[in-house]
Amino acid sequence: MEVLINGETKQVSSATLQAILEELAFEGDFAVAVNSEFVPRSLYSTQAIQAGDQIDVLSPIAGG
Amino acid sequence: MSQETTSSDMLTLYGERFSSRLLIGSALYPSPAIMHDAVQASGAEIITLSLRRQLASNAPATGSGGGSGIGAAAAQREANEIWQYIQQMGLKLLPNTAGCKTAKEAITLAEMSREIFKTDWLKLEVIGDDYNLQPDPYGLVDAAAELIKRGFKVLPYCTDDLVVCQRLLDAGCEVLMPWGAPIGTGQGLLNKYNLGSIRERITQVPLIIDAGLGAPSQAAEAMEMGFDAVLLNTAVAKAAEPVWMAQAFKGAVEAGRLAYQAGLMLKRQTASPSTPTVGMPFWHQSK
Repeated sequence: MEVLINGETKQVSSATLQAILEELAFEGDFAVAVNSEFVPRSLYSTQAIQAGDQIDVLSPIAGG
Repeated sequence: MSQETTSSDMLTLYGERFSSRLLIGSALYPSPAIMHDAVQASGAEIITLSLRRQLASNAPATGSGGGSGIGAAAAQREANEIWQYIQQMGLKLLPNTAGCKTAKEAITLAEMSREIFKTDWLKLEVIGDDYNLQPDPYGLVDAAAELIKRGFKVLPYCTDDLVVCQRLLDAGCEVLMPWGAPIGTGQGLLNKYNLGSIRERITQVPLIIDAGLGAPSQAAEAMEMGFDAVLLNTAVAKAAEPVWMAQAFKGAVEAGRLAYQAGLMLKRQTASPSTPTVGMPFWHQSK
C-alpha cells in the first residue's frame, strides 16, 4: 500500500508501524507521529497503518 | 556585596539551579565542531535544539517523490553529528517547538521531544506570523496550559506584552521568555518600556530575554534591567569568530548581572563634578 512518509509517497508491504519503520530502515533517535498524532514507542507494534496514512519520523537537529 | 554572595548567585528554573545566566542555541554555526567550541566558550549550561523530519532513511525511495538525495543525506549526517556533540557536552537540553503555528502542532511536537530527549523541559514556540516570527499569544497560552497539565516544564517564548505574560503565569508557567526583538534580527531590546514594565510587575518568576540580541552590550543591558538570564543563538553563530563572540557574551552577561546587583546610579539631567571642588586652586569666587 501507499503511505506518506515524511511527506514522500512510499510503497510499503507491512501493516503495523513497527514493521514499516523496520522495512524503511529508520535508525538512530527518532519519534513518530501518525496523522499528526504522537505515537509513543511502546505502541509501535500495535499501531495499525492504513493506506494513505501520513507518518512523520522526526530526529534531533540544531535549534535556537 | 561580598565576593561570597555574588559567587552563590544562582539562576533557579523549575527548581533546578544553574550558575550560568546565558542559555544558548545550537543552530546556524559554520560547522558542528565550531558549535561545540562556541557553546563551551559561552559557559552555557542549557542548550536549545529541535526536531525535524529525518531526511534520509537507508531504504531506497520506492514510490514517487524520492527526495532523499545526496543533499538530504549530507544534511542528515550533519544533524546527527550535532546531536552527538550535544549529547557529549552533557548540558541541560531545552527542546523547542520552532515552526509550530498552532497549539496542536506544538503539543504533538512537545510529546515527541519528550520521548527522544527524555526531558519534560520545553521552549514553547507558537508562531503567529511568518514575517516577524511573532509568537501567537492565543495559541501560546492554550498550548502552555495543556502542556503544563501534561507535566511539561514550559518556558514560553512570548512577546513583550505584560498581559500575555500574566496569562502565561495563570496557565502555570514558572519561567517566561519575552523577546528582545524578532528572532535573528540582532536589534537588541526594541521596547524597553514594555520590558521594564514586565520586569517591575512580574517579580515572582525568572524572566529570560529570548531572541533578538545581536551584541554583548545588549545582553548586558538586559541583565542590568534585572532580567534573570538571556537566550541567544544567531549573534554567536553568525559572528565572524563564534568562539570569541561566545566569550564576549559570557562576560557581558556576568557584567550586566553584577551591575544589576550592585545597583545602578540614577540618571540626572545636569552635570555634577566627580572631582571634589573644595580646595580648588585659582578659584574665581567673585564670579
